[in-house]
Amino acid sequence: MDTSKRRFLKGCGGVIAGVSVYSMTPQPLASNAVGDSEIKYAMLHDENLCIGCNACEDACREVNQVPVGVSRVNIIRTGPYGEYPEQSYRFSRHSCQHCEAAPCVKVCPTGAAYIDKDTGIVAVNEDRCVGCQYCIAACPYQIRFINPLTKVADKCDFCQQSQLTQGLQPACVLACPTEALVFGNLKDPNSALVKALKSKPTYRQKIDLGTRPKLFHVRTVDGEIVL
Amino acid sequence: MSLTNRYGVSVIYIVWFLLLWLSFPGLPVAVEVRSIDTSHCLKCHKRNGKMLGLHANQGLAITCEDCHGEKGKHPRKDSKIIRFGVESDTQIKRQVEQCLACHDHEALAQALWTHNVHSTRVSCAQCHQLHTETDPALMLIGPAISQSCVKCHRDNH
Repeated sequence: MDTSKRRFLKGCGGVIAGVSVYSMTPQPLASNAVGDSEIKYAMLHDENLCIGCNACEDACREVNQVPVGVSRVNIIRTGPYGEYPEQSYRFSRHSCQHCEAAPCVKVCPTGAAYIDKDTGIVAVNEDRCVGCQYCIAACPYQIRFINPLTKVADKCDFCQQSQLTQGLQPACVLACPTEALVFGNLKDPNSALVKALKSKPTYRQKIDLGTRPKLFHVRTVDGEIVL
Repeated sequence: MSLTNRYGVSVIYIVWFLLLWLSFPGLPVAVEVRSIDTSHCLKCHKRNGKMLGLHANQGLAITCEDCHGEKGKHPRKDSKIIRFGVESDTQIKRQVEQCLACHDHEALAQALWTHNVHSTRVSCAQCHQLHTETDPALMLIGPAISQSCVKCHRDNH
């Protein structure tokens, strides 16, 4: 009898201690998908307007203090197509796709990778990241990297901290001389982004993986058909 | 008349000095020197100080005609002289052709891919200073390169 009483009291103590500790710990930011916010940010890269100048990459590097050797956004150039002097190139934006079902968020053991409920942005909580690189392995678009200065996983966050908080568009969008990048709210039918998405045929990369990415592309019309 | 008389000796000395002078290397008469400095164009074009616009480094072995084409009936009548730059009245295609006569387009593309997509639309002088001692376009590094694209493309868009 004594032992069962003791065990009961021990158990109660343990439960009380567990509950109190659990309530003190903040909820992981990754907790369950995206809420019912009125904002869902996305981006469109018009490959026909892009000239491959890399102004977006330079602006991103400056605004977000991205060290040399790594980058949050890359413009992948392929070509030349055609015969000189009538040659053309193709440009494709390589950066975070801000997936609705982000594999990086699912694999993150600490909740450092999370989807911001208010904006739908896939972001990184630097304080929680332990640098395990699971997210780098999980990302099918291979856009994540370890920032050599901060030693945490880094990637495009639509300039969430550096620009959006000040009411500005992402640095790459502002830097683009040909307005090839359109950033906006998918839930606002009057936004330039939604209008552009409805007026041009677009594609998204690797949608068959079920990631539901929010980086749209307008396919270039230049050059030959590549199989 | 003997060679040993006064005039004969003078003639021999003159001939001997003349031969010595001609055989000396590096003198303009002895070898054909191709230089802007010696161009007959400069008789007019440098009379009142400098030539208009930016011109090639005078130390280079190129002449005015190498780039600007044959003089033709210039200056009395119209000629096909090629002028370079943004405000030139020479067609862009003709300007580029003249540069490509020496510069290989594949080598240019290797230096920077943008050469391939500008060759019919932009003259070389719009980005480069042609054959000057230093070309600012070749000194660009980092974001300055993309900003040189932005300069035109933002306006044209």
